[in-house]
Amino acid sequence: MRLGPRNASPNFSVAGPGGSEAGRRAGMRASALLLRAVVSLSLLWLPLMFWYRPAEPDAAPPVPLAPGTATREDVVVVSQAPGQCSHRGTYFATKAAQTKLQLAQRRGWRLWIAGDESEGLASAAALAAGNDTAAASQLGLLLALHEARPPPRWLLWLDSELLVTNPSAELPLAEYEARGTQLVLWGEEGGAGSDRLVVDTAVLALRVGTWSAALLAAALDLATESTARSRHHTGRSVSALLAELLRAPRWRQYTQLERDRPLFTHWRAPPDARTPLSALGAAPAASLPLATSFRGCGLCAATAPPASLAACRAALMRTFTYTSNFALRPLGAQHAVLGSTHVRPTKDGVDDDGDGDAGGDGERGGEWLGKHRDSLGRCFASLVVVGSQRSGLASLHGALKRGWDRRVRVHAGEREQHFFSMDNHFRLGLLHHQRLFHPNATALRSCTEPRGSAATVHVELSSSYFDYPKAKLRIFSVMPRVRVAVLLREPVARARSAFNVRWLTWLCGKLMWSRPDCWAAVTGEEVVRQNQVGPFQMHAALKLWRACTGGGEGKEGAAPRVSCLRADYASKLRDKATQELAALRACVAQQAPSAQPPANLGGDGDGAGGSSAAAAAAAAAAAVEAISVPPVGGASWGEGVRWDACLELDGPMTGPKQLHKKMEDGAFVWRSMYQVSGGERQHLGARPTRPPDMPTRPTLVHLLPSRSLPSGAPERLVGLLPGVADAVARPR
Amino acid sequence: MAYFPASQMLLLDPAELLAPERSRRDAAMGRLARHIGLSRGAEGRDGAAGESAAHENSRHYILPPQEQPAEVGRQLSAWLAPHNCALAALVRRHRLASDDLRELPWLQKEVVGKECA
Repeated sequence: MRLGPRNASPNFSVAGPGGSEAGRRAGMRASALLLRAVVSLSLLWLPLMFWYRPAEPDAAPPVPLAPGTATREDVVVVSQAPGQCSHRGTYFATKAAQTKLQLAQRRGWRLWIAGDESEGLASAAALAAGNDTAAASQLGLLLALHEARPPPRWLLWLDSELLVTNPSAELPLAEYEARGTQLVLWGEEGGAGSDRLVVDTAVLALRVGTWSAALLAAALDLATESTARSRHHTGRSVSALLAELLRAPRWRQYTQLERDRPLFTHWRAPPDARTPLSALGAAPAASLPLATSFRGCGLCAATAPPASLAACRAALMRTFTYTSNFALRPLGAQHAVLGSTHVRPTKDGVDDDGDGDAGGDGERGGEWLGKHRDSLGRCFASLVVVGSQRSGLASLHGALKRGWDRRVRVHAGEREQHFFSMDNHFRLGLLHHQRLFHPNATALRSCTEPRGSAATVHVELSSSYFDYPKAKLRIFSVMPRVRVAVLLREPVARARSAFNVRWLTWLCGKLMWSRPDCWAAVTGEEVVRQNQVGPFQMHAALKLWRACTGGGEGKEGAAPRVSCLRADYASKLRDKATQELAALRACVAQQAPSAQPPANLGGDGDGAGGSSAAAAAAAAAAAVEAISVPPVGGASWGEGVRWDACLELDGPMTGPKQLHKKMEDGAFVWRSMYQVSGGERQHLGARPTRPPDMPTRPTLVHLLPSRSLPSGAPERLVGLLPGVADAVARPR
Repeated sequence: MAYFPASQMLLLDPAELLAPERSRRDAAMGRLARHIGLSRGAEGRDGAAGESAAHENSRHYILPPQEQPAEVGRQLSAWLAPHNCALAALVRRHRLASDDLRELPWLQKEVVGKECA
């Protein structure tokens, strides 16, 4: 590079305006030489400049903003709410936020969930006016909370996808303070011989003071624009920033890598490193982590394959309900089963009916819960009639409709609503159901004739309420004091009748509804096509009609031969019975492997035990449910077997269509078993002991249908609950 | 029984609701009325219930039950027998019917003379 006059600044001119030309040229040469000398010297110094690293600034002792001895734990739990998500991400993220609220309530801590103010959430921007970074990122938010008044002693950061799993987990803040610890991370040193520091900032505790403020400021200086402002930052980015800083003694000497306490785990961790949840109701083991990350659930982006996504979300819901039980218990309530948001009253621990379950027939529960649910259900049915398919429900419905007693009123609309049994119906909300009895109702609990009044008895009838997996639990959760009438038909006759209806459907389609002997009306392909209820049914009907008229080619205008139809019926009945009995035996064998079904249980030497595929499917389904229901062994005929799980009636991927098909096409025998075995008090397992410091305020949103849940996070939710909002203290 | 206490439950045999004898039908519906707290008085319309055993949802069989494969019936009966025993025990334990199960004739017939240990 040539440094000449063109590059020289006019200020470099040393000759005055009135000098000679020679003098001016001499001056310019001198200037050029001087400039070359300066540049040369600078180039010589460059390596030295890179080599030289100034000494660390003097590490001034950290000064806490809230000095003194910790007489109480003044902690702010900090997290962020994800933005609006696709699928049900927002719903699941709200559940994650609820567990943080429960942790804060239980420990008497403050809570800060950051998000957009448009979502009604607290924003760090409100705390530090004009500080956009604070509103957006984990680092900025933590820094901004240093300005909270009064300043908290500690900030406990929990990532948005974390669920608190053990609200009682030990967090020895006083010990940390005594040792001078300013930052607690749940991380690991790198491998042997490595100086790498591997940290995960999904959970971190920060002692609020000058040291922490300087650390966060330094990290923000290191951050790229996108990292600093990213609302949906990844933990990795912040982890990387802190790991970089912690190479310096100034920061590292006040940081503790906590490895003694299981405060954080990933749901996707290897099985040996994963701390399983205790069984429903058991007090959390000492090894239960403070929190579990459900990053694999793809809360805001369906990045995982659907099957694993569903499994992750099912695990998330089980974890949520497990944690939520600790908040519900003082109210006399608990989740009926892990994974279901429905609650039921707890029992008072008095075995007054001698059945050994420490609970009487009556579910006592809390006074508050009882009042709430009485109020909730006051406009619903006071009698629910259930009975498996083909149990005479239509007859009873007809009798009641015809005016058996004018005080009895059957709901409007279709004869069977299947509201509590089908997910897609239940999601319509309780108000939708209330309108079956009170069409003009505009709000829950709004009706002129509340249930149980002398004037009217409202009745609902649905066959699916008897044996569809979720129906009983939902009815009980919403109407725990409803009267139930159960129609029990002789089971073999019921199974035969159910198969008969199905066979008629296969042949007749819609014709089945217009004449009892519908087969006589199937006289051609056009009749089949006009009355088909679906492509598979139409295909089956055409095949049978052709086979039974004209020797397989079909004969227009002719009804199928009765003898041919009878042979088909008998053949399909044999096949169906054999197939279903094999699947049921496989369930028994799989869930009670040491006990084989005795020979008299339909054992006719045709291969008891079922197919290996059925057994494998049953095992997989049972594994999904293993967390909530321990396997029951020692039964030879099916006692205690979880049939619905084994037959995949209640799996995470069983939607309304799949469930309906399984129940109506493939459960003829099972639906005649009347669910006695394994049904009695099975779901109502042990319960957690009541912790003395359990907060007395509830989170009750699980009583609302999911559609009515507002988007956003818990501060909005608690706004629905008078008397609870004030429990959520905010930094002032 | 996993959810609702016995005091809220009533078991009915649909064969009784559809019985040809009016007395049987009335008895079954009377149990239902008592269950929901209704006294049969002027409010009721006797005879409106179960005027006929036929009902709107009845279906004909192309192959009447008595002509269906006998081995299927035997298989089903054998498989369901212990479940029916368990049902009978449950019903008795929670007093959902009388000890002799007369409210559920088919169940009474099922357990009589059989070992339901």
